[in-house]
Amino acid sequence: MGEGIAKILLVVVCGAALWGCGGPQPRPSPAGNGKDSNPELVAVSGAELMERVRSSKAEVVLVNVWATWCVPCREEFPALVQLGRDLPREQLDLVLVSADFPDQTEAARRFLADQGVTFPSYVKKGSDEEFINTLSKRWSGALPATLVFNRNRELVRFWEGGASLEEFRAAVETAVQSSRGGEQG
Amino acid sequence: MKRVLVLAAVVGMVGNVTSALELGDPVPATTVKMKDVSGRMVSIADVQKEKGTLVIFSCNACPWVKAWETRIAELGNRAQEMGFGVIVINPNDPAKVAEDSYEVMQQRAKERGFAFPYVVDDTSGVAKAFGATRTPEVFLFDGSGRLVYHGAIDDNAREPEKVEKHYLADALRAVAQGQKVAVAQTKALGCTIKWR
Repeated sequence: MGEGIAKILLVVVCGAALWGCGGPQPRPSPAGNGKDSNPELVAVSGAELMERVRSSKAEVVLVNVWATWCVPCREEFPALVQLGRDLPREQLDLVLVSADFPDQTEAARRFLADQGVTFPSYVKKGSDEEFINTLSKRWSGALPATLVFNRNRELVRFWEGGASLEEFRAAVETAVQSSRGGEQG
Repeated sequence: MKRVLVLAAVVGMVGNVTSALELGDPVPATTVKMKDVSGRMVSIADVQKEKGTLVIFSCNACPWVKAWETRIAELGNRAQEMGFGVIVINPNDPAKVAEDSYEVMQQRAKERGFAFPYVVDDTSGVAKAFGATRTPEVFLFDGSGRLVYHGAIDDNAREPEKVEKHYLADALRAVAQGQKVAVAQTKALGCTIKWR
């Protein structure tokens, strides 16, 4: 990822990985060449992550739970980064949550940097079951998992497994329409 | 083409989530013959026992499986000694993850001392019939063939010494004693099944 892309990413989604616009604000990593940056990873429980979702000011919040060792997670990641680059921060709050084991946090950070992610993102902490069920009872625990919330913070799209940029875009559009009183997906 | 496949995978996953077996459901796909690591063709019906049957969807490559693998071997072997039928099924497509190949299954079963069949679900059809979504994922059926436990092996994949809730061991003990399984459904993070 180039410097320009990293800067755009910072502009588009820097607020996305913070505690909303009004909550605690982790210090963002400096923009720059992704490979040289050191993206911040904030440890969150399921409850803390949902508070993060509820407090976001964006129209749509997309939560993606991934791990460095998860092949479909790695495959879909560039599409997620592209999505965050394409949409304004007021429209999309992209919340990336690593489910890597605690001793793999550095590998997660390196992966994020390689992908050009310079804004803070998250790493799961605590019980798997609390984390899974707090995010969604529909989630079996398989990775990757994507959850899309509308402005009312209703979960309007959820799936397990990888997706393409077009599918991510369609899910966000569904949430936007849902927020505006349209059909829910 | 790739997009179609990805979309199919997404739709497939959502479908599997909604069609997962529920407690009380009978064992599905019992007659499907699957190749085990010794070359034998084995079905779930072949291993079913009057005391109950333990089915675990697993693989070779998933870090969560690796973290639990020693316990899968210990609990599977112990369940078999207790009189349960035991089968561990790999539904993953090795074309997607080479480490999930039959040859690595053979090595792994030997290294870990699996005393039970470790078999290839070569269409992923058995996993789909169960509504399985991830590896490892446990399904325990009682003597009447009804699902009495579904979920995780225990509550700590990475640190066995810090396990507080021995879900599967407790469920096996309850079924063996003819008691109701106290915690019948649990969840843990795992790898998505690499569907064929």
